[in-house]
Amino acid sequence: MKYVGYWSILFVGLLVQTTGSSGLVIFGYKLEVLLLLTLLFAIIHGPYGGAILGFVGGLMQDLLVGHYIGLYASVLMFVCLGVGYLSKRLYKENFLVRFMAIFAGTAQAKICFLVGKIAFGATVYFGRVTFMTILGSALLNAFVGLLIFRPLVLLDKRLIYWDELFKRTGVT
Amino acid sequence: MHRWRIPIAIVLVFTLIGIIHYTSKIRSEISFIESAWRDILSPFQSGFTRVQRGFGHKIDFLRNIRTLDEKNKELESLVQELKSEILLLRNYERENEWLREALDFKSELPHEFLVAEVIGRSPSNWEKTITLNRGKAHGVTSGMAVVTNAGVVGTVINSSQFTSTVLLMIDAQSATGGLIQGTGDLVLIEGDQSNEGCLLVTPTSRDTVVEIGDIIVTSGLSRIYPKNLPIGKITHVEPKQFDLSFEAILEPFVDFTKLEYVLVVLPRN
Repeated sequence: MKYVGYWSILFVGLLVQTTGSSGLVIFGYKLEVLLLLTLLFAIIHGPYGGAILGFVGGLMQDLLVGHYIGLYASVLMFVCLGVGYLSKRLYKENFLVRFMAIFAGTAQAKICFLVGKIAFGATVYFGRVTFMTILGSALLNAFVGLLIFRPLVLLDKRLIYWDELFKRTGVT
Repeated sequence: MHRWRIPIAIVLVFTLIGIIHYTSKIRSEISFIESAWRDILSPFQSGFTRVQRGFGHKIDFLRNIRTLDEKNKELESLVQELKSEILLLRNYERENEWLREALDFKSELPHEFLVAEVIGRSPSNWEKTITLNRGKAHGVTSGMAVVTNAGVVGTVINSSQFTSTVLLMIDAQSATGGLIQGTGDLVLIEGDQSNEGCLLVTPTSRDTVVEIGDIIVTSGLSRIYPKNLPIGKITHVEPKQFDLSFEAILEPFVDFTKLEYVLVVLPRN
């Protein structure tokens, strides 16, 4: 039950990210909703839960893009694993820790994806524009992450509660 | 069971590497899973896009409410200008028809166009693609050109039953031939990775001369785009080593951030 809920949240994230006039662009940078949600889930659930949701979310995006299928899924899985471990060791209730975890996770995911593309033969331009895109998206994700962390935690608690209720009574 | 974990993990890793390698190139045919996933997503994307667009239009209206009166006057004078231009063009059209007949030209059949709505965009910052709400069921297949009244948009790279993915001209993987409208010289046009939203123009001959303000149109040699479709205007020319060649920046006529509806160019038959 709760897994359907998590999948639905990622599904809506993917829809928000891919629709609209030019995707969800704020201050000229694209908000990577799916990446943000998986990183937040990694902070909430720890390394293993985060890694599974990271892989699922990445695969959803990979299948839609139809290019380098599995690369983004693997990248998100490892990044969420790292962020999950980091937030387990540190005091994740501190907003600065969350900010830094999302910032570092977003930047790491983007860099790893580009490096992965290069490993599979793509030509990638590493210059000012690439650097600014990574920095801009990481900052944007980190700020938005601070705003939606609490609502996501509440939603997560609600999903766990419904899941328990369903397990015990068999009624949704 | 425990002793099988490592071999299974190794097999999974190699399978994943194989899949990534196989899908690393642009494919004209996509797998059943990808096609089904896109078709499942497309109605939701369509709905989300309409809702977001509706909000966007309302916000734009509220923003522009002060300037509406001025704009109205401007548009009225523009209508007058355009009316006189239409009269002039009708004369040219008649003259052109007469000349064509006189020269016994075979008039080219007009292309057929299919209107498609943009329902999605590439989820990441690195790919420049859009998703259309028309697919194989509507006759859209890979390799078809996509245009708007402003100019060239891109090429269909693959289609599911009800959606198509279009590689925009500004993507780094996109390349096509173009003509300098004034001189008729051929140039190569590619997506520019260092200038977001712009195109890179390189000459195919050493004698090619290009100047700022030159208009570039499709050459028609690729068999993808019809001839003479506008692509963009040269905004910057950078001479290469020893001034033997150059690279120019082309600003596309199409605003790729505001695409809502596009036309897919269907084959003539």
